[in-house]
Amino acid sequence: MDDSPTQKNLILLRRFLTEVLEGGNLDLVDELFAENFAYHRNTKPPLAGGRERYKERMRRLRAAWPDRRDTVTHMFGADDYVAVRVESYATHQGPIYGIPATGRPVMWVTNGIFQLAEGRITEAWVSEDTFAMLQQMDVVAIRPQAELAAPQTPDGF
Amino acid sequence: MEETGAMDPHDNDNLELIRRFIDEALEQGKLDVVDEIFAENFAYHRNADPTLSGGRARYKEGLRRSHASWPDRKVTVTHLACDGDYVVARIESYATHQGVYQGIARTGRPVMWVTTGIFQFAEGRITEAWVSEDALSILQQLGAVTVHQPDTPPAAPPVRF
Repeated sequence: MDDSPTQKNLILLRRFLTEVLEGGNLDLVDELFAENFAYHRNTKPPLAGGRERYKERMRRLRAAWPDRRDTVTHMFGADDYVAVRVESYATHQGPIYGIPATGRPVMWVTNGIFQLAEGRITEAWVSEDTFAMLQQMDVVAIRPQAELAAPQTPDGF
Repeated sequence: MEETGAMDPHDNDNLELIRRFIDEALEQGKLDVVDEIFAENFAYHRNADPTLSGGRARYKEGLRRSHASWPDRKVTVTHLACDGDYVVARIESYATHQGVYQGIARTGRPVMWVTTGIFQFAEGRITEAWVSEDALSILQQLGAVTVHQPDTPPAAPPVRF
């Protein structure tokens, strides 16, 4: 195994996935992430508050999915970036997205891009399907069309 | 197509094909490009859904429906990089909802969503793709989704040893 920067980044990401996300070792976040880490999830504005706030989020996630198991299906590096695709399997045992524990098994997919500098993760952009998670908890419904507002014609069309 | 902060200075043909796919197919709805750059037995994986059966032809049909739903779609590529046969792309899409989407009739609403995809190439064509995007945010922006509390009381957590 070579010791190129890309290889080191892949090893660091693997530690995050295995020891933090699956293993729940939140102390490791301080070692793996830069203090001013910026987290982007789906279309939401970046999480304010850097690594501390992210750690707090990890703590809540851990409480929601304490038995989480991940399968990393893809992981590769390009320069300072690492791309990963993860399949997660967990039982919903604590509040998340405002939904109390349902005890249901949930499976979801996450695609993420992580940027690293000087041996730490500085920024991450993550896409995952919250709708599928809520469907598996049986707490979401698409509204009947009749309830929707009448179609509007956008300006200029 | 706007591109901000391309990740990889080691540009290659695969990245160029992804740019063409975004520009011609996703933005302009010119789907001939799909036959050119996707393998016939292309396998498409979206979120936790089962793999789309029917290969490239079926995928093209999905793109046709998508373009009817979002005909004015504009894409910003925030990340694009490759490692050998694999490409990762993160895009932000901006479109007006002008056709049926997930059973929801046209609302005329502007919607923005993020997609992160991993593409595998062989012999100059895309053979497989794994795409993740937040369908919930699209439905929320359409005002077409209701999240409610669980019907059943919360399950007791299992005993921890």
